[in-house]
Amino acid sequence: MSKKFTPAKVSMGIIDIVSFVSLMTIVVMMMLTTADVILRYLFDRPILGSMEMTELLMVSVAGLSLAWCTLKSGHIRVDIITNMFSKKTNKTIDVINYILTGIICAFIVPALINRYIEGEKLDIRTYVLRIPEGPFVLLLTFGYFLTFLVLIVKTVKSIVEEKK
Amino acid sequence: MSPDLIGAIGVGLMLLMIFMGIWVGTAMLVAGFVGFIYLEGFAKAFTILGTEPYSQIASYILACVPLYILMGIVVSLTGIAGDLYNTANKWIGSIKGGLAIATTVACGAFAAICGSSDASAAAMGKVAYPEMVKFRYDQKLASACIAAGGTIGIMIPPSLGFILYGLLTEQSIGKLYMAGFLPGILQVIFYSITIYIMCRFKPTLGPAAPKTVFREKIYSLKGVWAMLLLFLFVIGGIYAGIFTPTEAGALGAFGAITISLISRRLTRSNFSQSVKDTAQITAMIVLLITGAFVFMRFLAVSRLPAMLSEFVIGLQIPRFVILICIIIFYLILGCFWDIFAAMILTLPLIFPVIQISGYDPIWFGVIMVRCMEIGLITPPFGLNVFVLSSSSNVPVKTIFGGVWPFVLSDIAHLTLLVLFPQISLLLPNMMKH
Repeated sequence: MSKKFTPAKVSMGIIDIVSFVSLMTIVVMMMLTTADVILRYLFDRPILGSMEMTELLMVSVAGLSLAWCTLKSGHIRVDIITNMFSKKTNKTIDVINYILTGIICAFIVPALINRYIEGEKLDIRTYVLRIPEGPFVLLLTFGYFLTFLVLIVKTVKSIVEEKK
Repeated sequence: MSPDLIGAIGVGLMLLMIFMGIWVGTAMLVAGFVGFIYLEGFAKAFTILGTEPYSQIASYILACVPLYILMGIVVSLTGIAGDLYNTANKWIGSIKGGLAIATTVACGAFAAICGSSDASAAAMGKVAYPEMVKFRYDQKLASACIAAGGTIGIMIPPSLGFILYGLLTEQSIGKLYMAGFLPGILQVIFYSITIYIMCRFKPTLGPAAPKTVFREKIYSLKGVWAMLLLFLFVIGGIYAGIFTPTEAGALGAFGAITISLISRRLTRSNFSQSVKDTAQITAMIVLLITGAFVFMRFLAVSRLPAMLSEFVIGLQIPRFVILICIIIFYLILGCFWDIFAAMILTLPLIFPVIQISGYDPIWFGVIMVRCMEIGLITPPFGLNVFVLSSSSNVPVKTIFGGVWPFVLSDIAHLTLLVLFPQISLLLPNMMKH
């Protein structure tokens, strides 16, 4: 049997992989900080630049898990009023929500790319380890781009379901 | 149109979107971005959209968010709530209302490791409620003490509420944690006294459980001592200035995982679920923080917060009245809104007023979190009540019917914290760093 690869399926596959990397990054962040404290107090040998590595790992966690959280609709919303609306109205609000978030992501992606280009020109690096900031800006950009894709899929899915 | 009027329109637009059910982070991003374009032009707004999402997230302080969440989720998935309840029950369950008091104490202890109110209510609901029903406790008292006890989760450190407050107002998270410690303990005492008084006047509400011998009491500590020691290590480390809150979070998460592994409570699926939940909540907070900072940049150029502060000061009313108004505002808001949403949306406007009125920002953080805690058990949208109802199948109406003595206790506790800021500020002022 041949498997049919649709853009939606490919996007979801990528998100699964990306979210797994994000989970691993959280564990690495925990291990790194723990090791730094243990090495500092027990052996007087702190890990050089652990603070900035943690900051960069935090960017990675954020970038890699944003699309996944959006896929699961895990963002905070206030539903005091919308609870009173019909199911159909709520579906329409969902679509508006996805479109608005998609539009803002569509602005954030080029804005972050712009920041990456400017950063590369100025060769922005971390203070201690001199790690270039650029790849992490791109990683966050990738996260917002994936979120944008997720929102397109969710919008189309909601519209199709509504028509049915 | 003047910039401050644009600022006010921006706030209105954002609130409209939020009430229409748009994600809070998105609403703030959209309103902030559009408002910024209007006031400063597209090029500057575009730059803000390129800098804020990165610079606010590449933060060592923000990194403590996933670490504390991981610690809390690991702990709550590994059944420590049952052990805490069992220990508290063995020590104080034999007095009138003892099981309910034990539940409150266990909630406080669970809060010390978990940091989430709804997780505390859900976990205790599964463990403590059936036990109280078995001993013929009044349904209202049994359910309400769990819902109220669960609220302690965001007061006793580690607390996500304090992390967000610290990030948004640039206050020390370590000091905020210390500031919440004594009020949290006091809250447990207030609830315990409330239960005792209720059962003293009407003993059928909470009959005493069988007495236990001292050996049993000591033996009951077997399942909890390691986690409680971990809490003391983490919080003691912050207090003594040995760790930063982020380091304490990492050590706490590492310790919780290690203890759960040694006690064979952490399965592969538990761990995988913990990390997944951590990533999801972190991403949720990332969008909120990004939205909040873009919106705050817009508010700053509109000068609305400054205008509001000047207006409040210009009213020439005693600062205590301003504080009372703010407290009432948060008490009402807490009844309807999620704590994180309420904090992120209101702090940019309220915090400058608090600062200009000369109140201590650390102390105000405690008061704000305390106000929002009360909202977690009051109608119509008390989150803990709904969480408990779904985890224990007690009707929402029954729980709401029983929470009023605890709300009164909360008001008394809040009044004490307002009148005596020293309760909150004693530990932060004694901190080394």
